[in-house]
Amino acid sequence: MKDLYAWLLYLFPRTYREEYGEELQAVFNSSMDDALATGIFEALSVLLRELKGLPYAALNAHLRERRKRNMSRKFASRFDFEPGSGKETFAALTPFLFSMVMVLFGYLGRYWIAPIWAPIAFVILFWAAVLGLFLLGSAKGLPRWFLPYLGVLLAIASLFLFNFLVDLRLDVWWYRSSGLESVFNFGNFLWIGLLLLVFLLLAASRVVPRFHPFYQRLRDDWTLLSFLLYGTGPFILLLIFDEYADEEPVVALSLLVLALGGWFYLRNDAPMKRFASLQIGLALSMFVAAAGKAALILWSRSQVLDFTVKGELVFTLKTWLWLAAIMSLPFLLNLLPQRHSVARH
Amino acid sequence: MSADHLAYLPLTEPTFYILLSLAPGKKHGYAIMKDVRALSGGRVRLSTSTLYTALGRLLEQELIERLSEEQGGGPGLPRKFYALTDMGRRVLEAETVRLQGMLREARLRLREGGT
Repeated sequence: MKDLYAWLLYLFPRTYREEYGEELQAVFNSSMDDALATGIFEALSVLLRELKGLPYAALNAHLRERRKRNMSRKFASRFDFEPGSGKETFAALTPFLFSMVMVLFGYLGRYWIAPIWAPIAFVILFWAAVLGLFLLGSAKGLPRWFLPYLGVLLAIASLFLFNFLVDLRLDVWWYRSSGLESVFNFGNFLWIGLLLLVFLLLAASRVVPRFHPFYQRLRDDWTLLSFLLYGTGPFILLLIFDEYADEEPVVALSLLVLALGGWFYLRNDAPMKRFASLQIGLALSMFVAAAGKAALILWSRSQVLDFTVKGELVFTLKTWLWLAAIMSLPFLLNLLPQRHSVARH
Repeated sequence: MSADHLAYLPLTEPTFYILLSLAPGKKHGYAIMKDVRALSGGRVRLSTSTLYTALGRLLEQELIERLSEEQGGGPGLPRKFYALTDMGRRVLEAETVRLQGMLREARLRLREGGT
């Protein structure tokens, strides 16, 4: 009888059997043992009841299993990449590589005349991609591959914030009346804005229930926030080469180095090694940028403005130190008390 | 307090007895099956598969939870325990209040009809 029931359990879906099979068998065995102790008629009655209920239960389990599969298919997609996989690495490094390719295209584009609609189409496509990726990343709960994209958006937003302050003529006020101009340049408000936006992002992920898992992930692995800030790198690099001429090969090389730092980050498991990958990537990228700037100023005749090597090296050094410092701040998340985490699936 | 639990009402008789069986504390499958039979005076006799279909649905609705495996009963028998969640307890309490209301009204009307 018990063997027959064990055989009938094959009517249930495999996952259901794995989850409940042993329990079902144990409960059936107990009820048959108790029924047999009472008498043969009671045992027959129990057996009939079991046989009567089983087909409906099996059908129900199949339907539930199908519903679950449909649900998981609905939420899963080709954008759910395995951490550390080639696809995840490629998706995460796209902002760096895309910027590099666009810079090189811009350089080569000087040698042919592009139709008037080409730059307009490019801008529309670029912003549609940014918006689309932002929505996709948000819908997917901000996966790791998406963090550099968020970094790019944060950098753009902090520039808008900075320009807003300039529009309010706060820079003029700062230079004329704050008295702090000698110790703190107004330009550093770009970094203050970035910091402010990161704090806002953290606070929002802490408060908005939908983004609680993201906040918890940042608490579990603080280097994720550093990686997000690393994503500001391409935009910052493009900014520091503003008003240069023939700078594209240098910018492209700096972006490539930045992408390599990201590659090592994604391929490492130890948090400190990951963090070191980002810091080394940033330092080397800024070194390439500084060396390239010096070379352009000294040997290129096409520079529009009179840059000095010393001034530009100091500016690049400051930029590097600001970004390296901001990328180190997430380490402080470790110092906050950690809640006992519940079992996560 | 949220009124989400009211969405589960009314409960079917087997569901009500399963939740009621778990009200004093956690139980394993066979203990629930026997308790449901006892609570209903022998009227509700669940088969193993019907019981587990109901338990699966209640787990999905988060009215009960499945606790980690412990060894009990006989040697080698897997024992997963089931317990009411806070939401499950609220649903059971709300159903009890609903049934009490029905009973009160029924008694009143029957008394009126009898006099």
